Amino acid sequence: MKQLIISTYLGMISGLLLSLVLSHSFWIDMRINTSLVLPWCILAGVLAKLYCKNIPLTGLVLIVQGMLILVLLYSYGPDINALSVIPAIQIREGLFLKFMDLSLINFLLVLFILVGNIMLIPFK
Amino acid sequence: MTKKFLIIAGLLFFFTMDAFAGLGLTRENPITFDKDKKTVSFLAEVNGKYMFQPTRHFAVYEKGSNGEKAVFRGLVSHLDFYNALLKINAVPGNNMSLKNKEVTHVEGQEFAVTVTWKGADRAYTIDEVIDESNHTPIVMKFGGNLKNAKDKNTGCLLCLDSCPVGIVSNSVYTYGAVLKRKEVSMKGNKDVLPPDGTRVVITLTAK
Repeated sequence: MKQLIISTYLGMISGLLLSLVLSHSFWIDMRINTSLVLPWCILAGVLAKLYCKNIPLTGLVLIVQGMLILVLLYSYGPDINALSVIPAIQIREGLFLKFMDLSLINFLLVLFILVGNIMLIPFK
Repeated sequence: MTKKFLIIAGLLFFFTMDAFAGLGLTRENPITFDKDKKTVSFLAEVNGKYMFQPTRHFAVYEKGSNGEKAVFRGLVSHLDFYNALLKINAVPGNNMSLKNKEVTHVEGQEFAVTVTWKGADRAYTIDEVIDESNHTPIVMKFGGNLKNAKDKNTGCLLCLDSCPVGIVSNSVYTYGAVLKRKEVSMKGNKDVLPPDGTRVVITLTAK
């Protein structure tokens, strides 16, 4: 179960990373719904864990998290307004959560990041 | 008796909250027009994404294929919007086609476009709510394009460069100026606009 949650988390942050990179390209962003890569990445993360037992989840999660931070800083800099809006909008669109407020999505995102990292890294 | 009172109070509260700024605009009734004043007003929501990223769409019907690619998600369909413009006797230019789009400036009735919302000090002009890199005033014209709008079903209501699909578009730039040739960049003005999801009323007044 723990491994499944971590692989879902990996899929989620990978999807967010990919959707942000795609969305940053004006040409692509105006042509396709870039947030739709998110559910596919989550599915890929879960399936990968179910069918490939030897995935180094810890290493992958740490690398993807690092890349996510770099992409966000490169794209939007230290603009806290942009950082609190863009990822939440990508998640809301990608996961079909249009009924949810961005602040609630941000709260759930932070919670998911905390849960993912606590499960991943043995804080002892 | 108390139960009835609570139900009536609840309904009154709901409709008061949902109706917008005295225009009676709601999700169920998102567009209105005034033939004498030559105005069309419709309900939309702010899309926070395009205060931080460029776009070539000002307002798009939320259920159109481009519904999430504009500064404003329109709650009215492109067809209802087109019909409302005809009802104020606005004349469409219908001079744009998919072939001539990159060399043609949209023609038709010109509109002054304003945006307002609950709590706004006043109605803001389109030039105030859109951050246009060249600082050239936006000139919105009724292109028409009903056939293309129906065929493509993008939901485009108002575009930021001349468009063969959008009902109304900016005649200052030809198609491709924003996306292809990068002559200009446009996004929502985050210093003026309210947060993502805020309902706004967009009003077009024939000049």
